[in-house]
Amino acid sequence: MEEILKFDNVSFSYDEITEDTSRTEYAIRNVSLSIKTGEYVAVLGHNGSGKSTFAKLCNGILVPDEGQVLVNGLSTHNPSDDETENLEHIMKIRKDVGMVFQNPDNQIVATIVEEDVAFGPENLGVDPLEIRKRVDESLKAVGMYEYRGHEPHKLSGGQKQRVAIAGILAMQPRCLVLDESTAMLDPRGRREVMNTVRKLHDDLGMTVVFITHFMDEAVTADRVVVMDKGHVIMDGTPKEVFKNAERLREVGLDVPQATEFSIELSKIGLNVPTDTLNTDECVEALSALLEE
Amino acid sequence: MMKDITIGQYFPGNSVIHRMDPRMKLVLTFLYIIVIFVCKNFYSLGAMVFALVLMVLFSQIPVKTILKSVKPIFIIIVFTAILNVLYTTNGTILFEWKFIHISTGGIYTAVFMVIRIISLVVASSLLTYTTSPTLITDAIERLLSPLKFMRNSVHTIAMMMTIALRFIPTLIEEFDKITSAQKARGADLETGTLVERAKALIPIFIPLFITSFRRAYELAYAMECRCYHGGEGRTRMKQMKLHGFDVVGLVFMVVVTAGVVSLNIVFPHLI
Ligand SMILES: Nc1ncnc2c1ncn2[C@@H]1O[C@H](COP(=O)(O)OP(=O)(O)OP(=O)(O)O)[C@@H](O)[C@H]1O
Ligand SMILES: [Mg+2]
Repeated sequence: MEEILKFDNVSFSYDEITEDTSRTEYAIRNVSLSIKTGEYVAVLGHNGSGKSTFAKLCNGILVPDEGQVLVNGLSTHNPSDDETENLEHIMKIRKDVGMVFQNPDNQIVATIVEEDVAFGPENLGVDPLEIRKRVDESLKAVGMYEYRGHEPHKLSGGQKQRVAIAGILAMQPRCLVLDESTAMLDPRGRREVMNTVRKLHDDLGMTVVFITHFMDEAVTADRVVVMDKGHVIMDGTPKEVFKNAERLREVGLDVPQATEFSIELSKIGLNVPTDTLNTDECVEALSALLEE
Repeated sequence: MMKDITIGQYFPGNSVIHRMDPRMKLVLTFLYIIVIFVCKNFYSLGAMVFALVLMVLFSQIPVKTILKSVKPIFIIIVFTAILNVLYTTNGTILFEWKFIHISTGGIYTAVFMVIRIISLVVASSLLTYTTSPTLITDAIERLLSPLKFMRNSVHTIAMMMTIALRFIPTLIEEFDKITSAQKARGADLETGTLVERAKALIPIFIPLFITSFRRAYELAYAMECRCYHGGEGRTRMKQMKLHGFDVVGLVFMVVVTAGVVSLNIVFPHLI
């Protein structure tokens, strides 16, 4: 499968880089990572571990101080000294990697839902009829088509966030990066957004990078990446990652309840697998144990 | 508490007025406001009111909603009426007491002014009720775009207006939230002298400003992520096109204007 996003030994600091690199505080340090088309990747990490910095590096909002980020083979560094050329280059990147942020209020630009969804394609200079088509399709994809004439401030948090996702979809990106897009929502809003993203991945084959600190949201991913202090410290399937409960706790993260439960059970000598991810798997393992 | 403020509230619909070209609506509203000031007597004013009533009917906006638009300026209307009654002294005197003289002339002028103000407000509300704020700013941008030398600043100003309109409800909500939070901590906003109460507002406005800055940063990021790069090379989903009924609207307005001017000439007096 082809790589949509590739981090090649990337370091980034918000401070000025000085001669003496040992004193610089890096927000991202020596990260190498590649994400393939169609993958669903969850990125976990404690506060300040560099997740948002990672997200902003993905589409050239920030550019690495060392190493490079490749989107579809294009580096996010400016290709030349010519401004228009640079602009075209960065638009190509941002069109491919769409970004959804945490606060739904701060990413909606227009006063009517459908006009907001149209904002991205309008910036790209897409033909009006085509924009109309894309706006309708995107709103249907996130289940907000009936709300197209509404004012965004009258929607619930989950609905606003789905409108924000539709706004990104209308640019027809190949990859969706969500930076804690569920953090400000109530459980219901979270479920709405999770289901929407899941559907986009399953039905449209969208590549998803899902940044979160809710463990149960990471469980359903194909792959989990754990960050700490700017480094990637774990990278694997959810089962592989959550087995290391001790290590996760060291970096300030929890494991899903079901996993924790079975780890505790195995500690007291019961023969259960320690890589159960959800209640169903846990129940299955326990009933197998009881039958023995 | 501040949620009832309606600024440029839009009621989606599908009437002729809704579907009119926003540029035409903007121009016609502007023209209407000018002509309202040209009216010199009740006959011409009557023609304007008639035109307005017709527009309201066509827009299918409930009359109740229309009347609500007048509510916020009720005080101004009353004030204008009283001043006009007191300061105009021609016609027959109806009532006299110390320095107060109420004359028929005063009452006529007062009624005239009140009708004028109400028509003014209703006409501009009709524009904002039937046109989304984005379309209004968009129309302004397009109307001013022939001024090539300042095209970029026209786009920037229109964008700023859109964002401002978009954030007014958000900031009002935030203001309410912070006020409640400060009250819960014992802030006293209702009692004390004017200066004291003004001071009590400081702990509300400072957090409001700080969060606004953060919002601004985040919104700028979000806009960049959606490839925003100024007005250059931007297209629009909603094309503005002149339809048959736009021309009808223009002709109607021209006829009304002509009518007003001739009525002004035929009847030189207020009534
Ligand atoms: N604009 C900035 N200027 C300077 N330092 C920053 C800035 N943004 C983040 N940092 C620093 O970079 C580091 C990584 O921050 P980042 O926002 O990427 O973390 P995060 O994992 O997204 O945290 P959170 O879970 O709180 O969102 C932190 O130490 C933070 O203090
Ligand atoms: Mg963050």
